[in-house]
Amino acid sequence: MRSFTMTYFQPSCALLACSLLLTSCDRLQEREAITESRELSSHATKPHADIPSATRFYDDAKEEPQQQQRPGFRELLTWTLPEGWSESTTPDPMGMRVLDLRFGPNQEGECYISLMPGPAGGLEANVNRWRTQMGQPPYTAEEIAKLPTKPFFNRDASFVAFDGDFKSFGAESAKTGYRMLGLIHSADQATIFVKLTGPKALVEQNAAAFDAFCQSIKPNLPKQE
Amino acid sequence: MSDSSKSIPAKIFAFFSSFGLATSVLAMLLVLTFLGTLEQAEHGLVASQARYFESAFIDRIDVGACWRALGFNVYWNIGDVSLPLYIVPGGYTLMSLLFVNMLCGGIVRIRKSPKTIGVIISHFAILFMIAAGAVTHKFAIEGSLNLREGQTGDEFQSFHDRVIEIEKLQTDPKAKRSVLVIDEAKYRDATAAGQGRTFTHESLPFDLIIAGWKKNAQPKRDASGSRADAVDGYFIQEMPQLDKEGAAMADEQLASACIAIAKDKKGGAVHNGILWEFAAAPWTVTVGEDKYLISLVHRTYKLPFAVRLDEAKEEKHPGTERARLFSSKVTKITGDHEEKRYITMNEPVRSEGYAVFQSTFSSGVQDGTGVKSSGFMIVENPADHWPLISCIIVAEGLLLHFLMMLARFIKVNPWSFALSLIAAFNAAFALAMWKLL
Repeated sequence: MRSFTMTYFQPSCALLACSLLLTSCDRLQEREAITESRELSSHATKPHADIPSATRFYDDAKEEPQQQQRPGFRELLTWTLPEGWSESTTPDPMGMRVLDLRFGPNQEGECYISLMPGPAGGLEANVNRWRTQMGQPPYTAEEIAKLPTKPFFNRDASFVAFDGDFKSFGAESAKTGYRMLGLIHSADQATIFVKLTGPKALVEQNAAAFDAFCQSIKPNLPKQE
Repeated sequence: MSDSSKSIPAKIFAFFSSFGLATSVLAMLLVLTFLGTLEQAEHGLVASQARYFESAFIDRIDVGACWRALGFNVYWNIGDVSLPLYIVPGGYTLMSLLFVNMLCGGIVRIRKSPKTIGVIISHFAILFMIAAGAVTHKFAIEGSLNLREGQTGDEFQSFHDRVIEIEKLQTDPKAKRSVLVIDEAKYRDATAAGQGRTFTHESLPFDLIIAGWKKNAQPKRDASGSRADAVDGYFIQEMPQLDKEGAAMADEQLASACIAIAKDKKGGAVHNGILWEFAAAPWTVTVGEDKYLISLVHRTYKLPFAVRLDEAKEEKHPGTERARLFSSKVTKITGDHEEKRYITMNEPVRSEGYAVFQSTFSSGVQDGTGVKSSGFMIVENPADHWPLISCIIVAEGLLLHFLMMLARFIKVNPWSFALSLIAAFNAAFALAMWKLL
């Protein structure tokens, strides 16, 4: 004769196992209310909507061999060079410059265009990075908001002009008595920078040329056949 | 009085205050530390800490992993052997037992006399240290904040805690932004692709179903277009959690992923998407004219102040490419007040219960931005200084005890001898610290 324990032990175990399984299934099918929320900081990066899966998963590059090769950034723009300005013959060490120009009697004036995907850290970070390069204290958010704008690329771009001692990226020491002019146009898709630096007197002589150069930069649209 | 004549509460007290219990607990802690350290090689720091030191009971011991960590597999490969257990107490239980044992034996039961006052002080300090561990385990938060030069930030991301965030895209750029947050613990068990957990909120026009969660995964393109689990041409490919050498990857290197289904509450459209921790941008759900951004991210915490990175600097050992020091000049902004501060790896900025350490540096060359950046480790720990305080108290207690024993041996007044020497030691220590700092 089977003992009382043996008689009831196995069915009890089976019942317990079934109830555990059912419990876990039920738990998964439960609707759960979202109870937590938080406010985002004013410094939080601007969100990007409607980004395709290929871009979200860094799969864009894999599409390239199947499709036509993408044009380089340089091929996306057209411009008119001011008189006396010329393209630099030495390559940009960072490889960031779409167009790298020099001007002045000793080619000490420098102007370049760079283009980066997305907001590239935002206007405030980039303006303050330039301020730091000129040895100037960073602007507050209010000062950034009050920056003048100039028409650029059929839109408004923030214009900056600083005097100071210029220390470029990777330079050992700062160049004194310099002036920087810059235009930054930031959009969700890309940010375009035009930056001019040089000795203050030379930059002031070339300020109008800088404006004309910026106005001449246009998207290189494919010609209608 | 014999043991048998003691009352039950007295027997319980005797057990909890016994030397035997103290010895057993300390021996088990030693074994736990040994096994946890060995398992860490294959399971990673976070998983080993959770299993051995932050658990009430250990769920299993991976004997195979410990065997391989000791290098014994060279002689005899035992393969994957694990002991499924739930009877061995984990670090949490052992530390609780040690606390009770120290309290009962080292404070309550110990003979109170001038001879034992130093020992009692030291026991009290050890209790304080165990309490510091509990407070740190329960309340400390660690995370990172990455800033480019010129950038300001006042939020940091947890190293290990993940969440899903849902943000309604604001049409007014000046409007306050907020997100709904779902903790990973609430969907971590939704691992099956066909069955998920439904999350709902009154402000959302859809219910969000999370399914097919994987701890480490990567979205892969469904090149053949034949996969039933593909979403928008991609499917979630589970990735190994061990690196090429067979060692566990750090938790920060793992990228979880899941399938998200947004089901219109009015019975309309169903949107499917993949959420991935390393995704470049959130998944967008459009309902009517509103857009919702859904992302799987590390949990974000707010700082009570903002930090602006003014300058990031790397110093290298002369003639080499090896980094010697990363440092940052920052501005700490609290409301309208700005304060210039300097941060290095060993010299954090401490303020309002937070410590900001320099942890990484980027020259901007590799990521192609050309802008230098600093990575800061941020720690919020209410018990930050407690271990130091308890160590000082332990030292003072033991010093008092040994000096009083010495005084009795050389037959001088123990109190005046011990206290005057301790005062002298403390003065010398304070002077040294003052000179050093």
